[in-house]
Amino acid sequence: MEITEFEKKRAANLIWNGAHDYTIDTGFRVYDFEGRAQLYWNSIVGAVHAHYDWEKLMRFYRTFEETIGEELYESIFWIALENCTYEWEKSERPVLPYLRRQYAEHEIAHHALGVSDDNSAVVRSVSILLGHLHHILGEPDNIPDPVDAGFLAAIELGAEQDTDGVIAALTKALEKYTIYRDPATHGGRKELLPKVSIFHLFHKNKKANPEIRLPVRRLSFGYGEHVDAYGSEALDPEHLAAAFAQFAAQSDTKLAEYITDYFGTSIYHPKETARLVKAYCYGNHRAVKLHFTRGDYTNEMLERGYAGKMHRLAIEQAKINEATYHRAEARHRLAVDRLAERLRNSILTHLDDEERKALTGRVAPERIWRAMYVNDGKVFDQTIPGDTGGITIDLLLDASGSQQHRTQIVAAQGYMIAEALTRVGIPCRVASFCSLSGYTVFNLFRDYSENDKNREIFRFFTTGANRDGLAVRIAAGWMRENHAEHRILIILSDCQPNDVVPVPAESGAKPYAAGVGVEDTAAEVHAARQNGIDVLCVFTGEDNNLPNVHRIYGRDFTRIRSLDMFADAVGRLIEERIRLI
Amino acid sequence: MLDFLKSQGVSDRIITEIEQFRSYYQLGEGLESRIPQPQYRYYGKEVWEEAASALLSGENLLLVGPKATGKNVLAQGLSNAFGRPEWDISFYINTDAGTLIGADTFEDGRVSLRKGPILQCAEAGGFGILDEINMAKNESLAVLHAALDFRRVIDVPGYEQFHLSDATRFIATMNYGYAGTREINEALASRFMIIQMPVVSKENLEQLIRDKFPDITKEYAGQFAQLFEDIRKMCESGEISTKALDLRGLLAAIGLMHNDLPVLQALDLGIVNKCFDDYERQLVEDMIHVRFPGDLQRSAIFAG
Repeated sequence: MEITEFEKKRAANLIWNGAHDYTIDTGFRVYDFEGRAQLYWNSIVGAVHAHYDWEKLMRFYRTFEETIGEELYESIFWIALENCTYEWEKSERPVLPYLRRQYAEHEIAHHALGVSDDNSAVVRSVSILLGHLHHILGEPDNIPDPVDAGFLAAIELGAEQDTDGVIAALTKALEKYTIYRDPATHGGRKELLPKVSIFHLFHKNKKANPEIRLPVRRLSFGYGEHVDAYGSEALDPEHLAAAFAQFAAQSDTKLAEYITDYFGTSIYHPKETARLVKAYCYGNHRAVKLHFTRGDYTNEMLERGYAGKMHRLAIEQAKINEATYHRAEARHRLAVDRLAERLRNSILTHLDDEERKALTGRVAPERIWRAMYVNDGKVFDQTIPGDTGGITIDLLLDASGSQQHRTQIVAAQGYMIAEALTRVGIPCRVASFCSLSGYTVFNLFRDYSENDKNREIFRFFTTGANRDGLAVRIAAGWMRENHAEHRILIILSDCQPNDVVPVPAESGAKPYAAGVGVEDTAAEVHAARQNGIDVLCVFTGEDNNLPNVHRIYGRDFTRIRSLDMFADAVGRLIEERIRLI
Repeated sequence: MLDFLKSQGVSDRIITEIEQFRSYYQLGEGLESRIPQPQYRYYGKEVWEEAASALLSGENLLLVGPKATGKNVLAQGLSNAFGRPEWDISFYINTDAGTLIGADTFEDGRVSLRKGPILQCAEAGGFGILDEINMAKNESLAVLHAALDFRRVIDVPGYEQFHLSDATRFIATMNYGYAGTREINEALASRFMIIQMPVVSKENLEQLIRDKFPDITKEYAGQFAQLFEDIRKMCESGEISTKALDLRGLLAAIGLMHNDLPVLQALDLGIVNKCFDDYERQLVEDMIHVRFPGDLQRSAIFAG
């Protein structure tokens, strides 16, 4: 069962709404058998957050893990919580009886198709669920086994119980009707019987990927997902551990030091970086870490191992970049002049004030006679201001290894663009991005007001991979903080996103490459545009990547065969944008 | 309106002073129709007291707050309570001195001043509502500086100096951080008393709905108010834009239900369809579906 990011988001919103709190970790989301967010269930899960102590409940829930009756216990746990939370909520939300009835009817119809499962726990949990659904419809439960009927009666709890009461009642019912034993009172043992059933051992081994307990699992009432997205904590640490397996050789601190030595000290305090990770690294990017730098370093950093060596190389590269620019300085200066002139003309033509004849305004004495003799009242001049508000431009350079042979050209062209924009007074920010060892690294060269820092662009240095989707998300996040009327983000890219940190998915992690990376970047570009940011691409890739650029940027890209044309292409894109303003 | 203020618990002293203001400043001829008759009332004793006190002391007001906090409802309510004619001036990016103060025009064979809304308001002792003041550029607002501070004059180049009537007040509104808005500069901000408008509470919203639809049941007035809260929270958490956070749309939708349109259809028209993005629309629909049953009848919502 593939559950789309959108359905996950829907479920999260329903839970936050039910909890009246958008800051909580959603914890557990429910989808129907078609993979759509379940309206009723997610509202109930949200209400559980509001009425009960979620952490306490989850501690209890975790005692089901790795037990023979896990599926049954989980289903029973949620049926019980549904019942008591519904009793709490029904007076506050008159729609709930309606939704509950609809849910019960739909679910009974679904199960009427028959339950085919060789797992007795699943069969039993479905039988109890169906009994519960019949109760919802005001009918007898029709459970064939009187023991299970008693079990259901014991777990249909009312609203009078608090969290401890619910847990106590559930523990009592589970201990009475199953082999479950509360580990707290049974010396850590979770079940009455040891795992001796060969059938169950076989069944468990057969069904599961033993290393990764997938976050989305089938339960009697649909699909339940334990979520670590949106900054929440994972209930199944093994899953995250697997995602990070490739970095397991190094501790988090060591890895952070390595990245700092490699790229330079962070421009943010660790707390701020952590906040940014929480703000940006969710969904497809939830296992990624961030590093923001301006390339500042100390001598000790340069001496530390391979990372230090790479940083020394970057410093050397900056010198080479600058020297290369200076070797053809006259030509480059001319190009800057030309680009600045083009932009200035474009601004003058399209953003300059326009004079019009009008009925009011500044009197134009030379036309007064027209009012007297030909009854033309338009004897005034009126200025229609052309400046429709500020423009800012963010230039984001792909600094992945694939750009390595173009380093000097990109640096020179980036510098020329920034210089031309500075001359015409358009605020611009230039940064590069790349991904290495699970980090996405932003190298900030100059910010909007730093007109004297264009030379920093010569620090452009390429390494690692490129997680374009995350880069666009962060750049757009930065840009939302500026209040300019027209915010333009220009990305230099070969439209081949790829990164070692995979995208978490139910069916196992998917590599961040090819279609997955392209779709993710396209979604981020779309989101940025929704926020009023103009996203344009200067495409440097090959013919076979053309479908990618179309998918990600639609028609808003320009292709350049040679990077000598980069500044020209950017100039053209900006001109077009100014014309549209 | 003064009775309403009394019912809101606004202090008697303030109400008495408003009454004195009204009787002292007589209304010019033909201006009665400019006194607004608000369709909605602003609920909130503290804000009323702050705003009325500031205006009674001769100050101008700047109401700052996000969408649907009742900035314009309060501004209208103030004009009505003080019994003053109102001029509504919407600011936009190209607002300039000519738009505000006035410009030359040609009449009867001679050039004369065609007075802009600010000048008319200033002379008539009106209340000028400067709507979304931060949409305009600060430099174009500089012409208002002398009118807004202790000088209370407007100097129109080529014409005489106009003195503001003692009854004239300006009430500006702004939505900070709204797309395309600018920072308001200190020179302008210092000429206003600033009220940060609180988000309308659920109780006040419920009251507002019941005012507008007296036959609505208490239960569903509460549910509509709660729906608005749900959408606001979703906006504040950045899940959707503020397009669906539309109080006018919600009230209009309830009006449609009153005229027998099914509840979900009415909410589609008033709220959901304001979102042009499919994704946003689905999220807002979800919020509605977990509040209102699909088979909800008019008789359950309205008692009459």
